[in-house]
Amino acid sequence: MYSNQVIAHDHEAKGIKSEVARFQEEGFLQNNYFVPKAWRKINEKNYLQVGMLMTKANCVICHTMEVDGRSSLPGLIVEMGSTSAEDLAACLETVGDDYLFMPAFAGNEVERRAAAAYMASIVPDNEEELPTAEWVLTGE
Amino acid sequence: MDINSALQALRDPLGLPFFPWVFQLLMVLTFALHILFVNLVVGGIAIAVYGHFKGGEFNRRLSKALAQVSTINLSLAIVLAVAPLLFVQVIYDPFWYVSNSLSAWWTMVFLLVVALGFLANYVFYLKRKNKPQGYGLFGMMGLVLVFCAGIIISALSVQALAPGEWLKWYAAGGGELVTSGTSLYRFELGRFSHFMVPAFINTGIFMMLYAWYFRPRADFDGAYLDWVGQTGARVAKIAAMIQVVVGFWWLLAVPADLHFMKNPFLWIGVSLGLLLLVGLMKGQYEPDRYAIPLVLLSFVAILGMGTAREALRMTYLGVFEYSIYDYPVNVDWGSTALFWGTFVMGLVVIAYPIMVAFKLGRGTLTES
Repeated sequence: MYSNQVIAHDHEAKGIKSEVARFQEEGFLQNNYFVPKAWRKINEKNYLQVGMLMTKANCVICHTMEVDGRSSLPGLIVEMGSTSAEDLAACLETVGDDYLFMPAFAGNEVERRAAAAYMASIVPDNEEELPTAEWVLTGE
Repeated sequence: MDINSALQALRDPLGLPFFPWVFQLLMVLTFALHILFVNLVVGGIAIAVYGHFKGGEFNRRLSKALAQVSTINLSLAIVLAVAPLLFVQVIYDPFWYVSNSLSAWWTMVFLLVVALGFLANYVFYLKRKNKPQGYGLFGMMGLVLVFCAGIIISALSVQALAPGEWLKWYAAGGGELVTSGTSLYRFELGRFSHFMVPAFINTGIFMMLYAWYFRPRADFDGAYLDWVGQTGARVAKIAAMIQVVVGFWWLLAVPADLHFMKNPFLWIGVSLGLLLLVGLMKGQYEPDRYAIPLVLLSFVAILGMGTAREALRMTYLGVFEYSIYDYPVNVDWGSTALFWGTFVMGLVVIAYPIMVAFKLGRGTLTES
């Protein structure tokens, strides 16, 4: 189990199934009770709020959302140099593989783009890199 | 995903390391021991503070004795809280975890409140050695803090019984997530009182035991011990009468559709409570003689009430189709053997010093 309480891998001897695989396929929002009803389906109105929920569920166990916080997420994004939502979504796809010390992102494609949109929105002076709702919903 | 499935998903994916009914039995037993010492702390500090401000030779002497013993009882209450807390986390983990997460700030504050209460009580006990008239404020502070700790833990326990409300509390209004943990969402005064009023029943019985225990000591004044025993019996009897009323107050607050009134464990608990009241009526005339039987009867009554409390929890959670008996079990014989081995060894090791300390304090230790 990852530190964010998501089950990382199958463990056949104890009858345990990976949640990462399930959440990536079926989506996190549909499989988590603690999601407000209005947020269970991503739309153009709620995508940033859902992105915040996805970011908190996946990342807040280690990262703070404040610019000057401990292990600050916006701070690390600025350090990384890729502040666009597209780059962040691509990065989220590979965490857990390219960054072995981080849990794999537990969510499907749309949820990943919503999280990337939220992450881009908390980086200071990053208005130009913010995506459209259409990109979050369709990837285009 | 609905709440019933969520509760199943929140269980430990590894399952239980031993059969759930064993954890349940141990939880009820260790909780009874824990709440007994909590009762002795609350009642002990309250009567010590009252005696301090009322004044008079006997009151002051009893106040000092109760303040001293309250520090030890608080240590024991804390140590004995670990076991039932761990058992709750094993078989009722989804409920306790969510309740503590929703009110995380208060869970942390609880630790601070207990620590400060402990310190205040130590000041009240130690500083009055040199200045008997002072430091009463610290006694009051200790009492208030211990009370606050009780309110927090009672609220966390009640919140754990309300899975149907969790999402409303967490997603306030459906638009914002409440992740601050600074709110307590539910508190039942009737239930809390039912845990606090017995503080005076058990402290009263403790005072009867105190009189019985020190009776053989030549340095203890017989008139003082008579007064302590009789006062204790009177306090316990009045508190037991109040407890009957409070018990029904709590019972009426339990939702009628749970049909808890028909639960046999409830009536076993009630019968034991009433039996204790009868015992206290009889014991008030001969406190020394009835001290030991009343201690035993009170503990059996606490066990009965603790069992009824567990039956109530099962009734509440049964609505959500949650039963600890359905929890997956992956028996781990190694950790089970280690637990029982150290448990039995601990009892054997501690039995001898307790026996010596008991005889030494009573003045009945002989060289043989």
